[in-house]
Amino acid sequence: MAEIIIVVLIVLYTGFIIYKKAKDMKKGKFCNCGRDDCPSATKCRK
Amino acid sequence: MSDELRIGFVGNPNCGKTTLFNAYTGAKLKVANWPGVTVERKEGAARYHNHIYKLIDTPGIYSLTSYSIEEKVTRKFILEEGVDVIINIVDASSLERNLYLTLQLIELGKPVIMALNMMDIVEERGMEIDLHRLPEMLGIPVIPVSARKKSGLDILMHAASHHVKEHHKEYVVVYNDEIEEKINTISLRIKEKFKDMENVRWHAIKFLEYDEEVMKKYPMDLSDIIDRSYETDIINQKYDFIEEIIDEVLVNKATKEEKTDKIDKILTNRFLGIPIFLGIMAFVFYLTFTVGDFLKGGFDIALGLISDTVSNGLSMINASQFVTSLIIDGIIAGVGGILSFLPNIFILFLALAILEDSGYMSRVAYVMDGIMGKIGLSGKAFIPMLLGFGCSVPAIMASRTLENERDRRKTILITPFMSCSAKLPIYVLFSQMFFGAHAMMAAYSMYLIGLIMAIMVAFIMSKIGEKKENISLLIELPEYKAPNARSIGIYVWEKVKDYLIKAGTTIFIASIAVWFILNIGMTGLVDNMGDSFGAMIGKLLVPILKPAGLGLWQIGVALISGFAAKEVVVSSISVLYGINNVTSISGMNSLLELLANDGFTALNAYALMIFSLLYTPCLAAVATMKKELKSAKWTAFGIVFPLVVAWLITTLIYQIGGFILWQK
Repeated sequence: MAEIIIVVLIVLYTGFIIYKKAKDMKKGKFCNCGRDDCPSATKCRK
Repeated sequence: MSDELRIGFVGNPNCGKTTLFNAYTGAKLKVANWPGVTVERKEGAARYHNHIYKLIDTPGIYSLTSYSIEEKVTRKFILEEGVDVIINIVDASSLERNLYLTLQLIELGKPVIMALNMMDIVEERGMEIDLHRLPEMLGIPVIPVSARKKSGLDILMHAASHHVKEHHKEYVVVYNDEIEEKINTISLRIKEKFKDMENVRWHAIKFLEYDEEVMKKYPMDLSDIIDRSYETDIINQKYDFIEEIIDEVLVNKATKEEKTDKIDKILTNRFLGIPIFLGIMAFVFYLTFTVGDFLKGGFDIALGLISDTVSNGLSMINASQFVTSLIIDGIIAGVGGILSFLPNIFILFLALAILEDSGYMSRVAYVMDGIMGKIGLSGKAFIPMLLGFGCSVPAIMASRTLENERDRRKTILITPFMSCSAKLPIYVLFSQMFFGAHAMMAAYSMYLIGLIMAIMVAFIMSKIGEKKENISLLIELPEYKAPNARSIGIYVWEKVKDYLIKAGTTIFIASIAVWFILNIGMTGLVDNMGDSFGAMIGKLLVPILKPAGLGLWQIGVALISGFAAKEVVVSSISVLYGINNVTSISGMNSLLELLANDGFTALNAYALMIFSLLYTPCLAAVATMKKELKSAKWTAFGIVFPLVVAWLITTLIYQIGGFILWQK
């Protein structure tokens, strides 16, 4: 029983990640390193 | 009764323009792109007394010529979109540099108000600005503000609402007799042919400067008046006037050389600049290895503990071998293998953030301008390449700052050769396993090779492409300052968080996927990985990768998995060789033994590092490339070309290395 729960959780989590990644890619957000990737307030300050 | 005023915010980069804009609009703003370009446009609204002000933030520019996309959109916005008032935000601590744009804006004939920002920095330097004389000389209101402290904002809006009704001065700069005479003659001709034109004087000046956009929009034969371009004369005379202004309004101007200039004499020295940059980067990697490894010890212990605990737990519930293997050999081996590199990643980003925040990174673009010029790019193209040390995605996006489309494309295509942080786990693992005391040098050489390859490819592309005119580098070098602990802390934390999220998402899925293709074969679940689907795919690649020293099917599978994310190469190796804690000493020894059994030597390891450095970037980078290049053809080139380069260079180095070692 415990084993089944573990497998179901892994499957659900994997499905959730795939869904979220697909949704992000449709929005044009391709990965976590985004356009505001700048190391300091000076560079990011506009 | 409410009136709507359209106010444009115009100023140099880093003058505090957007900070001021945000102070007025708060969260109530709309972000889009300027029509037809990828430059961001921000619009917001603010209410002051009975007026609604529509505020438009423009990109930071140094002048109103039409060289860069930013200058073009700002100029077009002012001339064609019916701006009622321009608020020219000026950095008071760099008044001389900012005034050039101010003069150009006034010449446009539109109502201009100067918002004099950063007065606190002026005071810190012991200088003073004569706030009576400055508006007299410019003929426009000058309002001291502090965008950061939100002071002067109401007065500025009050001035904007009143100034729009006043007469607008165009004659801020009176040029010499020759030019003024030509301006008058051209103005008369313009009024004859284009009766409805506004800003006649400005257009006349633009004709004298041979401004392409103006000449194209208003074709006129002025060959009897204009014998040559007067652009240089006009610029020089503007700067003469600026010098007059500075002499009159700036009191106690700093006469002794500032600290920044002294440091720049060394760091941007023509001969020392590049060696110093390479030395600093070597030091960064030294810290990444030594300090990172010191911190990694704790991670290895923790991961070992987690692995044992989970394994025991699964035994207690009598979990099947399938599930146990999936969790221990797949998920924990894959994800854990990546998490243990977190300390190295942390140190790398901390060092890069310190360099950036101190002001040094801007100097690197300046220092590299000479070399970049020889490969047909400006030093500005080095900034995206520098960002590539962190991640290719923002690096590719940063190419938007380049004016020329061909330069943008070239930069996008070579940036992935710069070694991103995702490749660091590959270098750390293999260099430590195979190169011992020389591990750091082996890894550092990857960064050098990546840089050299990027430069070489750009050089070849510049020879093949059409010749273009040289564009001078105009870059702002901020003052050196002590890095701000808070902003660095925030940035490094963001990077750590991104890494953890990536481990828990992309790498999690990739580890499961790799585990499945290595444990499922034609007959279903397999006992021997060599019979799996993964092995079949890997074995297809062996003949191709063998000349490059990568003739093991496991390596082929690991490299394919690297398309998801480069870190997955290490995760895959962990799964492929069934090693849970691959970065621990015992893990590395086990892996070393297994690889050695397959004839994998230090030369093969170096070949793997080079191939990982150069081959096709990850899916996210390719997707970003496609978005920025807007061309399926060039995106396909961006996928295939690095693959071919990686194979060629790796094969060359492996074969030459093998020959040298055989000779010994």
